[in-house]
Amino acid sequence: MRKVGEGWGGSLPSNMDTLTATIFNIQPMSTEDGPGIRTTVFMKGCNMRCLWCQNPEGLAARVHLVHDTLRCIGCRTCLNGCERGAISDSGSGYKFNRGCALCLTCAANCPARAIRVIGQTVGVEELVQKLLRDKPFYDQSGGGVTFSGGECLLQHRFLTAIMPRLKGAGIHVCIDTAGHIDPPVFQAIAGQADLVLFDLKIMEDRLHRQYTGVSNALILQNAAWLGRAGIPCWIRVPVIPGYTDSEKNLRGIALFLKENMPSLARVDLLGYNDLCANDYAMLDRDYPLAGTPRVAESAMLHFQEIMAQSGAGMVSISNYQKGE
Amino acid sequence: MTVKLWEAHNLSPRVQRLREEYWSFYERDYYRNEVMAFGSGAPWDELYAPYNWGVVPEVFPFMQGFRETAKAMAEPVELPPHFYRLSLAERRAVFFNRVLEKHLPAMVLEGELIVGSHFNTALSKTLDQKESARWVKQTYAWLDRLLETHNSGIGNAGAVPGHIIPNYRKVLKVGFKGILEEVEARISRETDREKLAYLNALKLSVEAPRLISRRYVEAVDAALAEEKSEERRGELKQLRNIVSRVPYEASRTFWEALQALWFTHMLIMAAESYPGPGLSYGRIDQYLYPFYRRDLEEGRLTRDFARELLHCFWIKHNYAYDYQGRCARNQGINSSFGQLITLSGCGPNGEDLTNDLTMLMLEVIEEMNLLEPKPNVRLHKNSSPALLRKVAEMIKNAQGAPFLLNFDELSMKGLVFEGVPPEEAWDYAPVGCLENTMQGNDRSGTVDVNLNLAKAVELALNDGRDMKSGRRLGPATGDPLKFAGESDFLNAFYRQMDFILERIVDLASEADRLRSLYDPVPYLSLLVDGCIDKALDVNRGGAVYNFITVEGVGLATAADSVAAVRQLVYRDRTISMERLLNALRTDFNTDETLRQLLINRAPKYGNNDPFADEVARELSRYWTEKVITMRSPATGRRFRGGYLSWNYWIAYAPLTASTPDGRVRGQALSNGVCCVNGVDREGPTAAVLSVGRLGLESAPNGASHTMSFNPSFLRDEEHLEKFIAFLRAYNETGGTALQINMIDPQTLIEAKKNPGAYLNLLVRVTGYNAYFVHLGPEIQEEIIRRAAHAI
Repeated sequence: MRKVGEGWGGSLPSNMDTLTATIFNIQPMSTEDGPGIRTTVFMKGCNMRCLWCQNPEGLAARVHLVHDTLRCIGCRTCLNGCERGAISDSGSGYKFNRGCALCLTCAANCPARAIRVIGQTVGVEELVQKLLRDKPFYDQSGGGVTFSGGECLLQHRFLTAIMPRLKGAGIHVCIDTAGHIDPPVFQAIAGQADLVLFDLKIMEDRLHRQYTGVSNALILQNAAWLGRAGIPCWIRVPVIPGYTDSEKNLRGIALFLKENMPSLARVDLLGYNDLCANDYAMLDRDYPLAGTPRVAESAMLHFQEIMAQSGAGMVSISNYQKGE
Repeated sequence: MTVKLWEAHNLSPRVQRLREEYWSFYERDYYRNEVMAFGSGAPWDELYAPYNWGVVPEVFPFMQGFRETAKAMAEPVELPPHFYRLSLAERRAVFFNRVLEKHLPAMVLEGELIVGSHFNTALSKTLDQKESARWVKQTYAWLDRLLETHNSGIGNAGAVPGHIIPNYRKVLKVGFKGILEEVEARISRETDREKLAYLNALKLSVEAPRLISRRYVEAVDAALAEEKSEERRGELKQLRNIVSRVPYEASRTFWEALQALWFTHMLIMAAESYPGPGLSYGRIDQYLYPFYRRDLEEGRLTRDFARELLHCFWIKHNYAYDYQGRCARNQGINSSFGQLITLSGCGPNGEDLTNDLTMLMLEVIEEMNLLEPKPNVRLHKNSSPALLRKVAEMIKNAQGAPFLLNFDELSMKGLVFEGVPPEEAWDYAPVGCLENTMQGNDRSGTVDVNLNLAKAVELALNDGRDMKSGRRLGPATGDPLKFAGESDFLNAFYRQMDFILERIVDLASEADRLRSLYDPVPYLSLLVDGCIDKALDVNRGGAVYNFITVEGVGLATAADSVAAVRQLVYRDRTISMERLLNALRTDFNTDETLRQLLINRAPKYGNNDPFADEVARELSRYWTEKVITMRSPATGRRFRGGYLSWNYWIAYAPLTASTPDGRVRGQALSNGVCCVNGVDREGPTAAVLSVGRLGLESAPNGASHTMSFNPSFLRDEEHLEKFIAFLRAYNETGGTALQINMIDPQTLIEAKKNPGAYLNLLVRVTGYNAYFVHLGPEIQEEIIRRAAHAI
């Protein structure tokens, strides 16, 4: 069995053993990550490498810098101010080389906020205070906080510490996970959550390895445990044309859910979109799915019908091309 | 087309025709409700009062033209002998009655169920020769002061008609007949000659509704003589009955009540020579409900016929726009008059007062897709789920534009702050857009004064001088380079704030004085509680509650500027005052780096940032708590604060120097209590919380807050519920009033390019709705920027 964080390309955040987390975004008024109005905390680092990853800045566990050429006004404050000479002008944006010690001086001094620090370190109390801010909105809407990522469970010790604090303050807590996690760790965290948002992508293990970089064995094992333990759960299936959208795959997922998660509350079919293409460009990465079309409404409706056979309480579809 | 635009639907053929007739301004040669001028015939006659329009900078260059045109156009009205021996108020009453009796046309349109066609007037001031000379001298001296204050970018002021909720409830209940009894009883207790003359003017004014009834009985008779259809003849006979009774008699049925309301309302517009801005109905779903319910119960009315009556009633209000029909396609910001109706809201014990008429009126709003009457829906912590659901659905289906939302708990706190007894505050209602007042007894002069708060920043950073002209405006508060520290800067800022406040209040007080001396409106005064009692015209402070409202413009621009100086110049010392001043004087031409620093590195109001929010709160509390202590000497009306900001965030943009928040001269100021466009990086919930932190109860008028959402936010049932929860949370944590734009930027960009395809597209600007394609290009761009920044 793989250990947590051993997926290819993944490495644990350096602060794993202390009670801080590395996060790359806090999104208030989130309406897409669980019930009600929520604040979603995106935690950095992922042990999978799905080709369609929507949050590529969450992949690497470490903090890194990117240069936003659209915001940059070319004042060269960063280039001139770096004591280590670690920034160079590539002609198509600035590059940060190995000499960079992550002192973040350049980012702090950039007048245009054109140097973005991807990843910030945050302590439990500090984050709790930030998340409490929107409590009136959570309370009125039945919302709360969702930990997402990356893979939030890679920073499980932080979650272990912060979840009781939030729940103690009367806040509903969701975790949004891909489930490729050591089962004891998974069970410890999922058992504390008010709701688990769990991704299922591909049933055939060969294809799962090919498109996500890891086997689905752990994922299915954890999903089955959720079913047995009766943890409130929403399954999320990304519908990616050419990768996850075969009838066989979707029927396979529906069958798995029917057998293993008989009291499942809900399945969300999330259509593919390319809103993340810019993020790839900024990270200077190739976007593997460039040019992939959005999913048509009729196809989504068909998939919804298939998924309804899983017996889930509700099957929702979102993010598709309206009309034909 | 990216979204399905809101359009009219579910209209009967009759209503469909009436609606199209309204829209065919150039085709309907038989009827246009354009301004008709009526003069005294005296060579010294005056009809146009600049102070009535002192808050509309767009018309300043044309005022002399309007004055001369009105005089030249004026149809002379034959006056009784010894006319000028009467008191001014009596002259006004007699003159108005003459106009109604002999001059103002009365017309019944094909198929309509509510009648009353012509009400846009320019009436003689009925001054005698001496009064006229004095009035001209003083009024035009005041106009010079107004122009100077406006051109210096400080703001504007006037004595604006409308903006009041007359006691329509009383008209329905006792009719003008009952009001006449009240006047007569008051006369019997009076001995003072001057007061008796005024009371006589009130008594004469009760004739106005009887004259209008007489005129419309004739008009209905004329229509009957021509009419062949038996069905329509039946309606006309009923109508004849109704118009012969109301509004002089008390109303007995829903139909009578609607007709009584329209006559009473349209006569106010005619009497004030003002096409309706802010002349508001108050809680119409409450006071009409007993008529509606009784008629339904007793079988006189069906819900569908009530709907059709309301459709007809709705259309009438839009004819106010014939006032500017000839410049229709270029109405700029003026495309909204704001005859406001209030729906729902709480009762004396916090209970929800939504009823079936509330819901029917919401349906009518949705079906008509017209600008007037403008609705404001009152929400509170016990608002019914059915109401909230309807509100959310309408926002979804109508690009967010059909109404404004007012939040009761905070609004009521504001009214208590200004002195309304806590046990009365629940029955408040907004006028115009969102300006909170009491009903039937309150002239709060909302929008009479507009103050550019950001100008105080400019003056503080330039020793009291205008940065462009170098002319001294405010007190010399010192060369900023010599400020010893943060507190010197703050002192300078608040002294300049005192100065602009006093300057604008003086200007408004003089307008108020002129109007109080020369512009009695006895007909309106009959409908405002307090005036009969005190034998004092509404324009002299006769109402029970008398205020003049100063609307602050550019709050966030001013607050962010102050916060930037305090933080970056004095606390972090990352920029020097010298560098800042150089950049401001040259509009950042040679220091873009500094501008970026100010935009990106300074704390910004609207992000739940404790420092920036505290700066904004302090600023807001400072001027609103000061202004409430000021009075207009002539009438004793008190000043009070608010944040409507109407279109002035664009108008004063070029007249305000570049500001330390990184804004370049000419870029829009912030509007209402919104944050500066684009600086809200922490999302909509933070923006709401920042507004809530302002402590808006010290701004009793209320505050305009606009939020833009992408239509996908309301895409399904689940998200509709989330939006309703958002509104509930807003009520708990936010401001007094919210308007929502639910539109994607692509649609707006397309509409700007291709206006013909988007004539129906309504958007919310700052407290009011407007047809997007009729707005000026700067405002269109601003709305596109807002939408682009939406969640």
